Amino acid sequence: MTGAVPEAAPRWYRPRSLRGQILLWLAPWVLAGAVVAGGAFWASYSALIHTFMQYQMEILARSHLAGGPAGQGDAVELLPPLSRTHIVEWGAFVVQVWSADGRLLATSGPEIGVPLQAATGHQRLRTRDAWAPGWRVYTTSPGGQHQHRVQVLQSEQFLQEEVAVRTLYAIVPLALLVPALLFTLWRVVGRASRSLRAVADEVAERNDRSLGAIPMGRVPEEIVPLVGSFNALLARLEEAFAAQRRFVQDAAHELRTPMAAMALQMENLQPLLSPGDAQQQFAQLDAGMRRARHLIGQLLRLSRQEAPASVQAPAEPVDITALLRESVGQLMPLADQRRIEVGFSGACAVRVNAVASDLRSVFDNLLDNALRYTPEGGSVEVRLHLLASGPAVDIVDTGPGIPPELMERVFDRFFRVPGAAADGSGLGLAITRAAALRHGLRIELRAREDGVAGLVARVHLAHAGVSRG
Amino acid sequence: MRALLVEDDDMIGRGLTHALKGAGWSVDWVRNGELAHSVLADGDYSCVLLDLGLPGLDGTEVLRRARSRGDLTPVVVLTARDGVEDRVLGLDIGADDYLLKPFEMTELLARMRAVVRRRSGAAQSLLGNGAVQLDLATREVLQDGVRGALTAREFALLHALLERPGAILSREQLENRIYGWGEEVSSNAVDVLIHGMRRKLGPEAIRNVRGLGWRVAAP
Repeated sequence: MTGAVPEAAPRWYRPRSLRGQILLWLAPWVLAGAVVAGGAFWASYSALIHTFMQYQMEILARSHLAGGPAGQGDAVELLPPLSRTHIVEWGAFVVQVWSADGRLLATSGPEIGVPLQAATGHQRLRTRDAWAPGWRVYTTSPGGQHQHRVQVLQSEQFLQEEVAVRTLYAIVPLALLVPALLFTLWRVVGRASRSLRAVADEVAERNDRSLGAIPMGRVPEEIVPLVGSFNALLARLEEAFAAQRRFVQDAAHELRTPMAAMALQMENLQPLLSPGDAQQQFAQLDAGMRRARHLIGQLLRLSRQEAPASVQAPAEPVDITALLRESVGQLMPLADQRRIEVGFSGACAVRVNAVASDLRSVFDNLLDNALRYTPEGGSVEVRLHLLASGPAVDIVDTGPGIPPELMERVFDRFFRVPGAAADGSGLGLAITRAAALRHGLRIELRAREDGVAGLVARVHLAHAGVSRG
Repeated sequence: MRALLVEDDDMIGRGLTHALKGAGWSVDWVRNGELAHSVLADGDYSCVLLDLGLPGLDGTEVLRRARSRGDLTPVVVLTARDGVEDRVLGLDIGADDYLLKPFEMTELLARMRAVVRRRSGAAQSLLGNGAVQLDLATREVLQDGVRGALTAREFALLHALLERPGAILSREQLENRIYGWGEEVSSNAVDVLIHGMRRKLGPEAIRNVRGLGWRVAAP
């Protein structure tokens, strides 16, 4: 419905949908939040763990310095060696005991080539060993009985991995939250737009015959004002349509009184006219008068057919053959006058659930057209038969037919095929279509296919409440 | 015969008065409901032509008051309103007939004669379409002033067809009207009967509409 409004094509960074906009704005924020949270956690946790570990290293070093073997010369009790796994993966402290003159007396990590550091205290250093390149080292000043120095080492790699893993644990739930959040938003917006679409569908169903209010039941609160104003608009529209129909009816009714007066005056005038020219002129006048009366009648019928179905009589099962018999019977005088042969063939019995007078109006108008446009001496055939799509009534004439490009236009009000001989009101087919629409009947005009010039007016009964029998 | 015309439209009033006088009626014409009410109360009219849309006292009210007073003067309502409910209302409050504007003078005169005849108690004894008439009392057919005798079935056939001249009656409908319950009907009985009637009355008297049935011409 908005196809006529020219709009710039949406770019990826400027999506038209609410859903796209919300996601586009929210996703970076949530991601940035996750990154900041991860960074902050990483910084605080690594500060914590390093402080803690440094303290542990100092305690361990001091305990080795104090509890060193006493009075046994340089002999130092051997420390149990640690495997690489212990050192790198579990973060075990490696203890080295150095003599005062810089000899390595004992170590729990024989594979580690870290020399005695000259400076005391904490340091970070790198070695050439591929399996454990970085170390944190704590070196004591000489102490104890033999002025030994103790050096405690811990793998830098273990510490980094420890911090990284902990940080990951903190980020993973947040990271999982991002898709969950986006998915939820996606669903919520989706549901809201579905209910919008339901409202749109409701609006699309409205036409000049059904302008009922749109139900508010499942409409989201935010859209209620919109739907409310729309319902108010619908109500005003319905009023306007009704007023228009009333105007046409009133106008046609009001026209009847002056028409009746004129008709009476003409009837009174006729006997006073001398035979000859005056009578001929009078006949012309009379024909014009009849035409105007016909037009007024048709206008009234049209305005009645275009009124909403609720205003009309209730539908009832109507026997189509009986209805066609009535319809043909009523139009036989016209057929006789124009010497047109009328025939009927019914291959089946069909009942349609409809208002009989509306159906009559459909068939009367189609028959009337067929009889008016068929040249004198022609024939009109009415057929009730079963198509693949259901039962249908064909009214087949031997008239001039309708040019294909005008087939649709003939249903417009006051449209008459240019050059057509008959002097109709131009309303017959408009009435027919209005009456057909009320009952879901489809009318199709087509050229005859049997090589004879003429028109087939086909009324598809399938969509009305049909029962066979 | 005297007719009361209640009509507020000058042109229609003048035209109708003129036409009715031409047809042998004497006409009193009043233009509003109050006057119609009082004139109707003391006048002796054979027929009233009543327009419903009157200034002041409405036409339906005039009719209702007349009927509640026990006035049985035949009333033909003339109106521009042709909705079903308008018609039902008109007949419900006691109109004898209902004619829609604009109307043909000949039809109005025929209906006036009909309501007068009905009111005077003389039931219509002739049924016809102009070409053929059926005398219901003597059960004879009249054509061009010539009377002819009919068998019971021929009479039933013509009666059915002339009841609604112009309408098409199917074979089944005719059989139901001509033959009694449980009577054995041969498949071409109706054809034979109609063939016989056409020989009596002329081939155009009863017309066949292929596939639908038979009809007599409308009047």
